[in-house]
Amino acid sequence: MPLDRRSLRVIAFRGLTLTIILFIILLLTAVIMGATGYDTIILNAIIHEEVRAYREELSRPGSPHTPEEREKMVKEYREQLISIYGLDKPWYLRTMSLIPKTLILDLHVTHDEVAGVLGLRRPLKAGDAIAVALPRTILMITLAYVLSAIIAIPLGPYIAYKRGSILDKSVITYAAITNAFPVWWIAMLSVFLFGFYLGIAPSSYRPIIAHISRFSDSLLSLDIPGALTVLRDVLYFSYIPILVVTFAVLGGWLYSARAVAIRVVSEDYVMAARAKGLSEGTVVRKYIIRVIAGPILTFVILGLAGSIGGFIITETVFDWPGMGLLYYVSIAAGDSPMVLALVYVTTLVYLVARFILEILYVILDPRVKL
Amino acid sequence: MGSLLRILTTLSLILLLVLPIAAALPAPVEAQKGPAVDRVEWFRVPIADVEPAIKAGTIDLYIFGRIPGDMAARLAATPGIKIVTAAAGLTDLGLNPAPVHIIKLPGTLTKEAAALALGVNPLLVRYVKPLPAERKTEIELCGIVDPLPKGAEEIFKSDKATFNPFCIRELRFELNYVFDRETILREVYRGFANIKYTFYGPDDPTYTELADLIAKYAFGYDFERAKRRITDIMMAAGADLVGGKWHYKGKRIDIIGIIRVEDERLLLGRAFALELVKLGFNVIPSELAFGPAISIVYGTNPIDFQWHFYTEGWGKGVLDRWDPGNLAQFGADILAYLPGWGEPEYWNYKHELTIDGKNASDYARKAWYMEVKDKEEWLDALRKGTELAILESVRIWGFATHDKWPVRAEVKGLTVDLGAGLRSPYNCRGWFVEGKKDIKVGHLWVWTATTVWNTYRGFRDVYSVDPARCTYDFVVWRHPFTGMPIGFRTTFTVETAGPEGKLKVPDDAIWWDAEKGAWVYAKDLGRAEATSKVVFDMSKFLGAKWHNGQTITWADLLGTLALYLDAAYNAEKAKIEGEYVRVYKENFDTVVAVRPVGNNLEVYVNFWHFEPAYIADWATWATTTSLPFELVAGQDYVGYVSKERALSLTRAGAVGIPWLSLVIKADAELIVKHFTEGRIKYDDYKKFLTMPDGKALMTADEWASRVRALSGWFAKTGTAWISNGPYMLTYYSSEEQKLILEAFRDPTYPFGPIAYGEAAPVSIVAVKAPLIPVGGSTEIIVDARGVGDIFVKYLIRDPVTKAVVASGSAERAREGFVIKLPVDVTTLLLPYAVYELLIIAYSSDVTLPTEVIARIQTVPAELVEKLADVGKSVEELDERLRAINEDLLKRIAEVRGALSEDIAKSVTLLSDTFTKALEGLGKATGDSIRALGTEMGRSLGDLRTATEDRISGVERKLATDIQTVGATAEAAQSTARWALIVGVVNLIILLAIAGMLFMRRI
Repeated sequence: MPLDRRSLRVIAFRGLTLTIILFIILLLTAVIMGATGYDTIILNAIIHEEVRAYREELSRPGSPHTPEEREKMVKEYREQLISIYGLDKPWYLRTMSLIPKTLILDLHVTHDEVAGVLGLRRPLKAGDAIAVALPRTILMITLAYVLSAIIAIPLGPYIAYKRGSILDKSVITYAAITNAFPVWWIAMLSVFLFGFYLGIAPSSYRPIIAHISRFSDSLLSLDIPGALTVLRDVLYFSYIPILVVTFAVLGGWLYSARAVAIRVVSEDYVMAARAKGLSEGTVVRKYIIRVIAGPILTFVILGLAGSIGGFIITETVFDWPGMGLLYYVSIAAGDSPMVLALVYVTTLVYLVARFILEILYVILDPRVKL
Repeated sequence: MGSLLRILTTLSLILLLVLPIAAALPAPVEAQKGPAVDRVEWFRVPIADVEPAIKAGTIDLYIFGRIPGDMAARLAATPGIKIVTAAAGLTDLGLNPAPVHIIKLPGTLTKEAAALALGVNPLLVRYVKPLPAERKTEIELCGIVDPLPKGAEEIFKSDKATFNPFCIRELRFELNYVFDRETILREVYRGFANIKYTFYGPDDPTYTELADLIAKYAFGYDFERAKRRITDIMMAAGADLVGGKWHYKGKRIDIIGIIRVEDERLLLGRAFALELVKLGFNVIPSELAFGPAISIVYGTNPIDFQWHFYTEGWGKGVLDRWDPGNLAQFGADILAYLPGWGEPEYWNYKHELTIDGKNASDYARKAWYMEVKDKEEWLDALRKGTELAILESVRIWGFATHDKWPVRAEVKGLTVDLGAGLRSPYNCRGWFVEGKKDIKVGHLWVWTATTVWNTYRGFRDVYSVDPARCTYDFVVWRHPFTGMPIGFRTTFTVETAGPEGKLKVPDDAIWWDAEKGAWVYAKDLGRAEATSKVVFDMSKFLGAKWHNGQTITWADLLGTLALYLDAAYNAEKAKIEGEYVRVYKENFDTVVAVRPVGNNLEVYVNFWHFEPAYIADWATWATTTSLPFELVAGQDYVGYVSKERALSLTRAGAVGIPWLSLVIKADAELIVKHFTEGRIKYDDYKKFLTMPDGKALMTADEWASRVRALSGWFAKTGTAWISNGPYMLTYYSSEEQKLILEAFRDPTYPFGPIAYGEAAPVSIVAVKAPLIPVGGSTEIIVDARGVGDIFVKYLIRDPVTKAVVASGSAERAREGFVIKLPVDVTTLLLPYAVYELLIIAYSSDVTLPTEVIARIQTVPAELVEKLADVGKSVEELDERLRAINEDLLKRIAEVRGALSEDIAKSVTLLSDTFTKALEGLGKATGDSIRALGTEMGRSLGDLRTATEDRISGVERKLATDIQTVGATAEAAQSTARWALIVGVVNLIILLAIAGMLFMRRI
């Protein structure tokens, strides 16, 4: 459906608004990290620990240095560290200067534990860190969301259509149960049950990192047989996490899709369409599906966009370092560049999804006017 | 000539016959070289997964010892799993003793004079420091003093606190009595800890020399005493109890407690906070994890009062027989572990007490830097420093916590190192699972971003150190049970002229001249004297093989040393890797020269210790044996020449290049490529291998051969880690968090499996203590048993005040260890009192002490003498009684003889008379009994019949009833079953309806 000029202008305006929001979010994040002194305190503590370890090494028995010489050396070392960590600059220079670089992801991870949680080491660009973590999260969480969507989108309206049936009641109960249990708890049970006791799945999922790397290396080098061989390992290490997340989120998705459909199915215009003698297929296609597509699409797209933020605890349970763990470790370590990069990427994805939705609304639902 | 030919022919025939036979004989059976297992699979297991992993057999043991106490207790109670423990950590409550007010007053003032001038109690004055140049005195105050006297100059006045109770030394000391160590040990640590009253305790071999001192301060939980004294102190300092809370100048006194949440310290910290609340303090607990906690405690100035107490935790290294480290670290400012942490911008703690004009840091410095003439002086410094630290109580000591390593019961060949526990490198050399050729080891991590395997400035965490120690052998290591340095793959002899004398360094001893870039004679560098000389026998290294099949030669030992010395002394290299220079140069500075003689390496050092083995340990700075020369050269090249990798964390951070790790494929490949593509050249590194006489320790051909072997090793394993120990590193994946070690079974490898087993500490079987005569002499016998030479020490202390009255050593005698208490000792004891006798026993084989507390009863010596007189009288009386007894017995025997005859006669007469009388009586009685019997039999027969009839009736009735009951029960059961089924169905329907209703409402 071609968009008229007014619609295009409004879409452009929405795009601009979302871009400004993105800037504001980045600015606020930078201020939170810098002005509150959060990163300064953490960096100071790190410097202190390193200086203390250095002093200890310097003060071994047999040292030929006088205490004054030692203190001078310690002081030099401290100054060197202060310079390395950027504490010789005020917070606004240190943190605010990161914002333009964030936009092009030209930032470096400043803490070893942040790089380490991904299985990488410094020097490491924030963009590279995200490029490593994101596929892992996509493999486990986004893929599970996609599976859930594939099942829920057709099944949700169908059970709404069969409202009151055994299937409908079963889905409602399933949704209630999966809503009650946290994903990480189901994950923990599955590791113990399938990994340690039944032995039909890995008990440690950490090797998935190596297999994903090998798989992408094989693909990049166009080694298809090699990639297929590694794919087997990838599937072996990922089927339980994917199934667990799918199992946990599917109930909610089914219920939401059903709820949206029920509202529409019982609308007067649907009844009127039926009363007009239209075939059931036409009613479903033209009067139900078309209407519910908008809300369901919103739900799916925003859900998929949100999934890239990862699940911190579930990733920890599976020892599967993706975006969630990267977020957590970056904040805990006070790694301002990495936090900014993560906020930027996740917000950007979310806002882009929102933007796409704005356009799709127009295309999918003739009632929607921008 | 003919006979000679015959002899030769005969000999030839014999040889021809013997040789095939000899060849056919089996070769002498050699014990298997290398470790007990063929393969070790070593991978990451998060702590939460340890319990199911070890139960399911996914791992045979877990080498990271910081598992929670609850988990350890559960695993210990699980059949087939055991817990190996070792005291591997320390826990204390660090206090913030910072002042709230710092001022200057004119003149040179003492603490009392300053208090008088300010009109406050001296308790409020923490510290005075005369400033002669200014003719003033700097005064640190524990409470705000307002108004200040005329002439006072204010330097600092806190806006966060008006009063800091932990600033007062006397109050800090009393806090020892409100730390309920016994309960915490039992309830929180579940027994996986030892109580510590100061930083030395029974988990340190050095404790054997300090036990009597520490025994004085065996603080028991005594809340009432502490409350009484703390109340007095607070009142005297000017604080008031308002509404049950302490206030100062109208403001409530708040105590901020930083409590770590990751382990038992959470409960420990809460318990201590509760005690403080009971004392009247308003406690603001802040329960934090490592990062935020250290940010506050170590990242803020103590006078900012962002914390008042902190639940500190520390790791312990190997067992050390003579360890001044605890005093240096926890009681002195040498290593900057006192509040203020040595940060120049922060307020730093200054000692308040002295003994003989010296404070704890002065004594610690003497012990740490060996600024003593002999062992006695060293021990004296250690004791005085420790006592001062206890009295100043900047830390309230709690526990030596145990690391807990779960191991499956079928794992054998372990060495339970008393310091390092399962992490001891002896373990991987001996461990095995019966019936299996491999073993699975879990660790918290195999790789982190700071897990770096390089021999310059790598190996900064346990995740690299633990597996690496399985791949190389040490020159000297610590004995697992004594903590003494022992030769590992060497033997050594030590000669010393220290602490004040000097030995002559031979003219042909050599040293690396970094300026010239060449090995030179040490004398040409003016290195003619050294304090000590250590001779290492290197024959177990030289001629043996590296893991890639190359032979270990002097090139590896001396060439590598030259490279390391060059990194420390070469000015250009120092600019690149400053951290290496800062850390190692001063250690190399103490090495004067080396001299290879045959297979021996003589090392000349300016180092002295009263224990020669410690000098040998120090001299290992000049022994470099973990990597072949070419790999050290490879590190040198990428670190200093191509500068593609950093050798230290500091440079990696500063320059933004990766920190070199030889086990990471990219780094290993880089080095191998530089070799194979000819960038790392023999000619460039030949100088490190050329002796002052021009002799090269490695030829170009040998270099080429080594490069080929290195390249082959990389192709095979993907790493550049080649060493000489019992295991070869054949696989390493940072992504998978996994490595594989395979046994190195080369015939040149000198060792088979090594296992020390478990230590057998001395056991004190019995203490035989008589009544102790006050003013007299006596002996106490101690039955102590163990392996090696046993030493028994004792001390007698007041059980209430803990004041030590006497102490000393027991003498070995035939009947056991004899504690002789002479008159001058017993006169110090009060009569009619009970004293504690603390006995400490240890042996030359196991230096960790065993303690037993017995109680002894004193009495006056006169009483003992009187008791002796009484004893003598009793003996005399006993003698006389014995004589009387014998006389009496004799007389009784005589009387018994005479009486027996008369009695015999009378009995015979009486017997006859009775016999006749009974005969008549017997007949009449017999008839009566028979008649009675007949009648009774009849009656009983009737009764039996009647009873049997009744029983049959009852049986019949019972059978009928049982049948009826059974039928009824079956019917009821059937009904119940139906009711249950209907009930369950109803419940399901109800739940479903409820679910639907609920969901609809949603």
